[in-house]
Amino acid sequence: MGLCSLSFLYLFLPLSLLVYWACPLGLRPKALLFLSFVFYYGTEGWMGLGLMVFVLLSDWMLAGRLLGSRNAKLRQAFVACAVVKNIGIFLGYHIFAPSHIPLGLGVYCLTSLGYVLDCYHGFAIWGKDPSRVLLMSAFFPKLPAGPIVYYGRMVPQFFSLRVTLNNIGEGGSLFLLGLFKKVILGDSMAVLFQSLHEIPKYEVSLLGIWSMLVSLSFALYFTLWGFCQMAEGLALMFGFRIAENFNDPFLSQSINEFFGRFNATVNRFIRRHVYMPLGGAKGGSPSMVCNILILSVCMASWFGLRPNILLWGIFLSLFVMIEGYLLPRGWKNIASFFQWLYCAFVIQFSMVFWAGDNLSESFSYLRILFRGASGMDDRSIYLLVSNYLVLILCCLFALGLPRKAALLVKRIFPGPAAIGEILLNFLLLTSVTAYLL
Amino acid sequence: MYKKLTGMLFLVMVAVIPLWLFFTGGFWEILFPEQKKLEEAFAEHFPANAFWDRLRTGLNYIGGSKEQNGVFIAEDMLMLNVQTAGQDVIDSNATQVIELSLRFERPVYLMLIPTASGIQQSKVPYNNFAPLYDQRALIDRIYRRMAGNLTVIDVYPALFNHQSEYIYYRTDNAPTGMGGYYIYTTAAKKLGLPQVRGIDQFDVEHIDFNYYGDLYDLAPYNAVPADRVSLYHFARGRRGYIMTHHDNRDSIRRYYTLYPEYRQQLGDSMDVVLGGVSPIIDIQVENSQYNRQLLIFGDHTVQSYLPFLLVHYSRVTFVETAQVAPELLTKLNPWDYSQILFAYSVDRFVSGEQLAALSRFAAPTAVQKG
Repeated sequence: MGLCSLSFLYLFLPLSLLVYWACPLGLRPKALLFLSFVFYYGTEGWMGLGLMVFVLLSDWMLAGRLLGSRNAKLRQAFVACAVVKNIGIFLGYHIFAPSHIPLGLGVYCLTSLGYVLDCYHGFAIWGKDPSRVLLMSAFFPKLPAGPIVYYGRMVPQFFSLRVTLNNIGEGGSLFLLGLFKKVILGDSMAVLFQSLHEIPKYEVSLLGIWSMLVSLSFALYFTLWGFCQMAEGLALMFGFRIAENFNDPFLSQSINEFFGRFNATVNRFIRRHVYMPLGGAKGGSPSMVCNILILSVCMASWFGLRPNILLWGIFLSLFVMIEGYLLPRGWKNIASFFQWLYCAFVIQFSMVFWAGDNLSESFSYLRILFRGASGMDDRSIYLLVSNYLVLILCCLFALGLPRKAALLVKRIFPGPAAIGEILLNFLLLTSVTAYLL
Repeated sequence: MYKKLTGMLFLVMVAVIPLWLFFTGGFWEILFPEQKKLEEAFAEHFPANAFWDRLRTGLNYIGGSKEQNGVFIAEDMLMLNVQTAGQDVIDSNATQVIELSLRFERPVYLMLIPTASGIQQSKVPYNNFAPLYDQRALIDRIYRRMAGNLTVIDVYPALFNHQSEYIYYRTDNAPTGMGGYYIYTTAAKKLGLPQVRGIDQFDVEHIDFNYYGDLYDLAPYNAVPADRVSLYHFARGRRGYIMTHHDNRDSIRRYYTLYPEYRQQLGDSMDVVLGGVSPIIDIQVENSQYNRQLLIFGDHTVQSYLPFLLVHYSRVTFVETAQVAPELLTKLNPWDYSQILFAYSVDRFVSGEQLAALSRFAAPTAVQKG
């Protein structure tokens, strides 16, 4: 059972809402934690659930010991213990069992680690009842793709978890929109990418390669964004808000800005707990370059430890450095359209590292791009026209136009806009159901 | 107020399916499925499955995707997108046809029947770019390879010249009776049959105007109209038929007609034509003025042309080579027949080994030769 499944949509979700609604206010965090464990058991079985409970409970205990101790070295030792444990488990799975990584391993390991670090820095407190802290990390909708949440923003909300029709309406709309982005846009783009990827290298044209890169970036974006929006919607239905993880990254005008908009909460976590403690942009050029490289590699390793993906991070970090330190200050004065064009080009081009199954395949795509190939081929044109509507929708959503249009309509015609939202929900649910079946 | 309404309707929308399942009894089977995963059990019990399939196909079509599950969705018909399993498979099939033709020491013929996407290419969506398998080139290549070993029957031109007629089912990957007639007219000349019969010598009986074939299951697109299943009865001279179907469990079904119409009640109208397709179908023609016997190694396309060919034979035996068990072939003696025909749809010939089951036919002994 995953978030994008019929059993979740028509069985787990309504039953969860019913159980949750029936619970007294004080018991709701525990009820939601229980539902999260049931969901996780349904997805990963006892082993996966056991690992998650171990990670979260051990971090909660470490945080307790840490806050109870006045010895600075001991406190540091507790933090080091949590870092080694959580990062070790995360890296261990990625290195030794990359095909058996439990759902949401990175999300709950980092969230839980973030709690220990927040306790160390004095941003979080410890309580005897671990349910709220555990719920912050284990809340099931955010496990597939985040966001990474913080104690200070999340746990206070768990003291007044109210289920209201307003929240269910707003959350339901968000959830269905996220489901649509994942199931229809993201998955269709993934299939298109796969079809383009299967074109033999000796037949592929420039159109084919660029289409492959664009479809891959859309697949990645809409899958992650879809999951995050579903998590936002579900959180709202259960009575609290979680942070947005994507903020129109394809509207960025620089790679540095892109990092801040794409998977924003992970970026924030790494900046807060890795980049800043290392000195950030302070210090000499070598330290600065090194810090940016570390930041980028950490950002990339969130998606896996494949050499291709790490190289993707390094490639983008080069542009962050160029933008920050090599380009003349006046480059920000050029028309924002050209800045956007530059950023969009670099982002799409960087997908060449994702596209290859291994480094040599990525380099072979690079060779074709630089040495040249035929302009277009029938197979690529056929695949593009066969997906024209989804491609148009992806472009519109990537540019944030539907949201802007919806806001405008809501402001000018609030009544019809609300009825339109109800109709849209119905259409989204119907079409997504057809694709899930 | 509107937000509340949105919330209420959202709850109704996600609750209506579980409630429906609860009241129809499927709820508990989903929660406690037997030997099935939750998702499979849910999909199985989901209401109006066919409606959702049609909706998905329709949405894909609107979105530009006019190919689904390997089926092209043309404006008024569905066509199989022929996919080859590789040159090795094609070579192997061709080699086996040649080897068998040398063993049989009888006049042997090969007929490759193009599919709708090979003949009606103009109907294929985005036909300028669509990845169409070049069936004409394949047929030419295979036929050139057969030169000197056996006689080839090229039905492509006959079908191509009548492409505007109803020669292929709109929802099934097979020629219609009309298509079968054009195949017959070409084949009859090559098989040396005297007096090719005109279509006017056959009475046509339409048994179903609402037939949906296998392609419709793969791509249930609403705008494609249903098919018509027609039976062709030879109107000149009374003929009796004894049609025996052998299946791999060694059980037989016997009919005294080419069209056991009661089989329509069992579900599929195409099962009326020659009683459906079995591993072996043996048809004895009573009162035939000819003394020829034909052995056909082929596939389901036999249902289209065999009713016409039967006019010229006293006995025809059809072997579905992809289905037949080698043990069943022990009952068959190819040397009892005056002509042997290999007849395959192009998609079957290029997509898998067709003749592996026939490898048991050893070189003929003196007894077999009769």
